Amino acid sequence: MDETGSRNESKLKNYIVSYKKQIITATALLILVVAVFVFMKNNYSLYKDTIGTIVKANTQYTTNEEGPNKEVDKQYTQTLTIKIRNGEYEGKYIEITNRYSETQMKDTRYSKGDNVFITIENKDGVLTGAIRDVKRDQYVVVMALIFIILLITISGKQGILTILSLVVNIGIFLLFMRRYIEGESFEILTIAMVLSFSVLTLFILGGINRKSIGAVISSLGTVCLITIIYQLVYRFVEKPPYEMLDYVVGHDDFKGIFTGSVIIGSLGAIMDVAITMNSSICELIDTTPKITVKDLVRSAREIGYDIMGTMVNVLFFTYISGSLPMTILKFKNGYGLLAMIRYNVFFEAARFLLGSIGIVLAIPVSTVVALLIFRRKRKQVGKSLPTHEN
Amino acid sequence: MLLALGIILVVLMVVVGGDRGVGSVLALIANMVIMFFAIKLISMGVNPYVIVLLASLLFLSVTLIYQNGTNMKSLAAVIAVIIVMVILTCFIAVVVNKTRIAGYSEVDRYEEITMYVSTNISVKMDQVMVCVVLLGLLGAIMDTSIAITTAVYEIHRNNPHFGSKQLLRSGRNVGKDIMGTTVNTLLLATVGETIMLNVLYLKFHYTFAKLLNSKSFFQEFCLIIFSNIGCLLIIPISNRVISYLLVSDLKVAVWLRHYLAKKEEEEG
Repeated sequence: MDETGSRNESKLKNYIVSYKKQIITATALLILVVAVFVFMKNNYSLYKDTIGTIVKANTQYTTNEEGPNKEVDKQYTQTLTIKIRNGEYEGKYIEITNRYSETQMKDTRYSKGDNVFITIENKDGVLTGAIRDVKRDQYVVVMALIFIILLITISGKQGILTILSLVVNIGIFLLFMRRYIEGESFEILTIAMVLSFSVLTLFILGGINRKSIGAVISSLGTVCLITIIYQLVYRFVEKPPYEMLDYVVGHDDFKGIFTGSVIIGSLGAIMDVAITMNSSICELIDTTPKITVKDLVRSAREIGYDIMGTMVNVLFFTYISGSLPMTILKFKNGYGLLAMIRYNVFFEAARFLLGSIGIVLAIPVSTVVALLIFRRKRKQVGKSLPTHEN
Repeated sequence: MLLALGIILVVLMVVVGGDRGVGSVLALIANMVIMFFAIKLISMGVNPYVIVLLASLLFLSVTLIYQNGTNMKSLAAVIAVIIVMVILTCFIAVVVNKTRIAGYSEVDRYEEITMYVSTNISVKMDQVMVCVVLLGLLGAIMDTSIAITTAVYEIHRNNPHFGSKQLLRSGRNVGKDIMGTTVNTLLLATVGETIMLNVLYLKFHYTFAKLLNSKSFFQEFCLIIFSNIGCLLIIPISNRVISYLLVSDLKVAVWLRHYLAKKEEEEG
């Protein structure tokens, strides 16, 4: 017993010694994350709006409300004691009554420890107030930090490049959106965004070389193709129900915005396929310079099958999951499946379908582009090969 | 319009993918059917967590095992995805509950539809929101994980003498390559989806502080950041799982290798 125990102990010691550096780094990063979280949680003084912490929450079940299918939705009332954290009334306590339902669609349940933004009114020394929103900044910052740490630990230098490409893309996007607000047409902005996203992302991630150039050309070619398909379909069948588009205000250019959002949404997936196809074909030509065009096409198709199925699923889950709450709500309110597809998830479905068409089309397009780009290289290799053998 | 686009997609998948394209079409349809029933069951009042657990297992078997066959690659991917989902579920539940992002956001409140539908449906929307995030990241982590396991499997087949250390190193290199484009795929999909929302932020002159704390922003942010974190975590995890299954002396791994070899023999 004793012997195995000490052996285990020395094993553990060895383990710790051999991973000393990693353990120290991990601990340091963990401390960093916790420190940032604590700081962000308590940064009340940075805000002009009044923030309070809920120190006591008394919840009582009050009534039932009836739903559309005779459901029983329980209603609750909470008496919240809130300590004010900043501004004029710092340190004082106020009481706020909050009502919420079991479903929590229109209202919110709060509990002890929540930080909330409040509006305060002072009527002859008596403070009354209402909760406006929850303070969420600490979660945004910490999750972004965890993401960056993971990215750099797992991908190293490539991770830093990825962050760079993310920052550049978000910056470009904000810049162009500002131009739209200033009155630029959305079609022109979409073209500009597609060009800059694809060129910058692929060159930042892959460096400036044949592979990246091939990927850029394939992505742009595929985007042109899906735009043509979309315009053709648009011309011959009924118009989309633009009035159901979310978050539309005033006189926005619906068609332009929707087309733009579809194209930009699928661009990422198309670039993904394009870079995979181009680098695999480049790899094939490098490793087997004598490969015939026929063999190359067959291998390219083989790689294409592999990525197609799962990539289409990435888009499916990413787009459809977001519409889950509204879909449930509408099912409960008696909407039928067909009406739902036609109006509620129409835009998600259209985005998903066009994006998937883009993924599938990107496979032959990238194969052709890669063959054209590497044709000369293949010939050069082919010519130099005999001399090399000599 | 959807019908026309759907037909174009199916035709293209079959033309480009041949037999396996047909398989992908069937898998996609199966996923849609599963998703429909999952939504139906949640709205009938069954606990959303239970539904998402069952639906995820079905999604995994359709997308990974049906499409890629019963082999080491797909089995390792399934195991890795389950591990990551379990780890992330706890985090997602905490974050979603602490930030109170269930229900209409401050922007949704002004949408016309909120006036027509009753919200007294007695479905717990905070639980639904956790499921939204889980399902949203499922597609991306399945994709990343099968990419890793396939690559490591190919390396193992071409170099059978490689030990687990060498396999792990190759897997790590593959992971570095695919990470950059996956992150951007997710970013651009989200950007495309939220163009309108972003226009709205600019029109209503959201300040940076207001944006960081707003519910509508966090709902989208939560989806994309957890998908990305999931994609990052799945790389080392699927790398470990496939390397162990391929070369380690663990009883489970040996048994699994034996079982798959026997099965292949019977079929071939």
